[in-house]
Amino acid sequence: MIIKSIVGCKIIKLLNLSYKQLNEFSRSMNLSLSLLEMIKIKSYFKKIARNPTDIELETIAQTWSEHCKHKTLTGIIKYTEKKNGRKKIRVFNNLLKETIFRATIELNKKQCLSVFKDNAGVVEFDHKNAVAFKVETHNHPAALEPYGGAATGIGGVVRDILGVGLGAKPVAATSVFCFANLDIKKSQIPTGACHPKRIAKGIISGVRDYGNKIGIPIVNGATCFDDGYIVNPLVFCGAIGIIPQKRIEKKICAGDLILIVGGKTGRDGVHGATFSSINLDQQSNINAVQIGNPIVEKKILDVMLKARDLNFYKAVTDCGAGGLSSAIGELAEQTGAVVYLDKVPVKYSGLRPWEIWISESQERMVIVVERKNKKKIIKIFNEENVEATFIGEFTNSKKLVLMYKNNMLANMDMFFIHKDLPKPVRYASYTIKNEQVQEPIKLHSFEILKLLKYLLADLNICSKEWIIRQYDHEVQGQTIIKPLHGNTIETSGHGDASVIFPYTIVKATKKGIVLSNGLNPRYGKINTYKMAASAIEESLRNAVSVGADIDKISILDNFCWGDTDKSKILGSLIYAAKACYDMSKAFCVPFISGKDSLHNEYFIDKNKYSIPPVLLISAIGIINDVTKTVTMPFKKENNKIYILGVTRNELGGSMFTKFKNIKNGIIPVVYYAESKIIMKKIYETISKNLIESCHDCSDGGLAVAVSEMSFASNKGVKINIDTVKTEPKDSLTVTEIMFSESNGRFIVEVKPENEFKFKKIFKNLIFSEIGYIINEDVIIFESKKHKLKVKEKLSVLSNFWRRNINL
Amino acid sequence: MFGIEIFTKEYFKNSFGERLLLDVYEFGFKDIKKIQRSTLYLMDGDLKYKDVLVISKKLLIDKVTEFHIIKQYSASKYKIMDFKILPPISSSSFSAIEVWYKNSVTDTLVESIGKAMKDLNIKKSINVKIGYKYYFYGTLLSPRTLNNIAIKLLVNKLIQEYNVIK
Repeated sequence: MIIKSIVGCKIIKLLNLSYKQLNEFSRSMNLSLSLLEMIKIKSYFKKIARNPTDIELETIAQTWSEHCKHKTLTGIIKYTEKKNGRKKIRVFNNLLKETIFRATIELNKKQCLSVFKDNAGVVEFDHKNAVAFKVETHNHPAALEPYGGAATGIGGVVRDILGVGLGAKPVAATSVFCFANLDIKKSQIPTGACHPKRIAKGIISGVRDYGNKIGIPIVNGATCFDDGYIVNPLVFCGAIGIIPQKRIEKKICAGDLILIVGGKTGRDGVHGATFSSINLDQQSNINAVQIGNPIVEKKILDVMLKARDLNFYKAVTDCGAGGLSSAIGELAEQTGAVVYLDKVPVKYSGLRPWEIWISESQERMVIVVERKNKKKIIKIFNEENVEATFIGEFTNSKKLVLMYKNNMLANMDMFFIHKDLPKPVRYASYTIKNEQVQEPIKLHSFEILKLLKYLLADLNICSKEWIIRQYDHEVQGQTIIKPLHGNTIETSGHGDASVIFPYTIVKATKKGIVLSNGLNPRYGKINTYKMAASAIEESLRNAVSVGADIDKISILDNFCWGDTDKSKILGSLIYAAKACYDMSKAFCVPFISGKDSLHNEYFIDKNKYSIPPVLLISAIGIINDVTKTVTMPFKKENNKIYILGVTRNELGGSMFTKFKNIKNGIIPVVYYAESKIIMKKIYETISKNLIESCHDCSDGGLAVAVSEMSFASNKGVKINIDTVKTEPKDSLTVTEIMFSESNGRFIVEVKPENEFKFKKIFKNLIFSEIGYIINEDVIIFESKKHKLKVKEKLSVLSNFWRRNINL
Repeated sequence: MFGIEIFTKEYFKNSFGERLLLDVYEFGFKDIKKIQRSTLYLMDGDLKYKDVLVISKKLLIDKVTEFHIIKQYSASKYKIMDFKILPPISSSSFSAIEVWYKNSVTDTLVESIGKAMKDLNIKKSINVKIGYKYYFYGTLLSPRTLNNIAIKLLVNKLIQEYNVIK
């Protein structure tokens, strides 16, 4: 199929290929292009009366990859929803635009300064500054090489923050993981797969080694365990940065120069973008694995921000998936560009031009420089020993031209590359399962206590201190509320959210940034709408628990799904996306950015391993006064404990039903009107210093939430279950009240002298006083009505909770 | 061609080895009494012994907690998987596994060493390769057991290669 080769670039005889040959060619070249896309490419080159070069095909494959164009979520989908034998059909021309993005447009909130168009979402911090937030997935690389894949995940998302507008200063990072059960028996591990402990250890070490070395605190996260991730762990890395509002917009004109800074280009990461569009198998390619170098990235970060403040450049973006092809291709979409590939600094000789062009070597940024600043910007980078080389310029041709040793290797219209991607029709269906309330669960005190101990020791609930303490969450000295709270190092518990006080960047400010997340994959196995709604509400609850104002919260989505080429799997994703629209509108909380990772399936010996659907919601809130925040440990004996919100019989998908192997149960619903008003009132009470501690009720319900507050403070507590408000009234057993995972609930601690004011604020809302903090080493849950008393030493329960994840 | 092997001194805590020993036990390999890890640096180029000594002392080792052994090889005789340096603990029964990145994988630590050597005013062109060697003390392990340990705990065959030494 090769006509001839020029300086390592092949001309491909594409115009005469049959459909079958086109398909085979795409597969053999690892292009991950569909037949429809190959036909489109063929017709373009037929029109311009020549065959393409390999570098042109690689450029198109990268630009049209799932990773870069999100073809599934932006394509046409015919969706059928079935419930009780009834069908509803809807056609989506662009799922993202019609759900998530639509909610943001319709909400039209003032805080959104740059959403869904740059490397990260940008929201207002104060009248001069903004905050950029991005959460990336790095699942496929981490599945192949846990350490390297996770390390480059954090490195990549930090570069996203550096590449937003003219560059934001990174101030914090987040990490969320999904692993298989660490205690799984060796016999249950598929042949060829690594033990989850080894995967987890590699991933955690990767994030730690990159994050700590680059000097950015990792302040928020979550870890979820389910055997669905046995071969395909999930890695979500997030970062936030501060950027002056006047530096949010990029400007690019014909004549501007293209500067590449940072690491040299090697073969690492070749085909990373197209690779993330396919399912993995044991033959997956080594070139997709990348090794990061945090020290180089740290140097780029420091010099780039210096150059930004000296107005030495007009635009910047990172070299992520697709490498230079993606970075320059996107920057030059409206203008055109000529790039001289032989000028790109390479790690070693022998790289072919297309490899230089699409390599995903780490720690590289592309900067747009006006000619007048050419010498100044090189000087500043050279002074700090950061490699910087001009490799081309922007033109007004609206064409992408690639040169190598005076030979033109590519010459294509930008419109074709970016806008002519065919939109196939996909089909999706989802059948909504009928949920039934389980048989009433009546357990004796000793059974409840035994169950509570099991729950506290479960990987999804137990202390993640071993993981959290590996990260430097205090570097930069701006972490006001840290991921672990407690009176001593021995009694720390997980906070609901973290707070960054960026006083070193925004002088004389009192404002802070709240970071939280929500993740409920267990619910997604039964109902993806409820999973998505619960994840959104949980992320908001967590943020509100430390003092965030719901009116100033924005959220990000990360969909991680199995093979969405299958109609049912795609249908489950659409159902979740619908929840995103509904909840975003209901809570008036806009989405500002997102990232999907589809095709999370792995084949070993023809056996398919697919992940359960996962939607991570990350929330960012701005608070006016960082001193008006609270943490979750109990503070003082005799203070009163209240529960805010309604407890319903919602045990479906809960930790409790998992242990008792109960198949029925209602998945928790989000009663957004109820929940929203409670969140607003919590903000008011925290602002008035009326709450001493606050914690949301989530996994494991009321019993676990209260226990966690107790462990973190080493203070005993006595809870009267009879006073918990339920719906329908008096319809729940003690066990159901203790372990229901109903959304919208908070446990708060109030000083006796503040009770009157506190109750006044919550007047007309559903809340109740359920107990008080005691000066004893015990946790007591009591129901006089049902003659039940669950009592255990705090230290005993705490030992179950601190079962010590130690890899 | 020179090989530098760096060990943690005997009286400092062998935390990596202790940790790995637990993992090895968990996988059912109970005959191992102690594990020790060393770092291997293979340097090829126009080098003299005194250059290597400077590189090792000033760049690679922490003199307080570590010590090194330097060995010179004839380039024609050297095989990458033949880093046969005796372990510091005199024991007749030990086995070892060497682990290296494959040639196609960029090791950023190597890049950093290259830069640091320039800072030490060593301007010669030197190729560096970094690996790890794991010593297992106790009963002599069979090649099969060593292969199992390597694959299950030490090596990602996608990016690394290894050799077992009996």
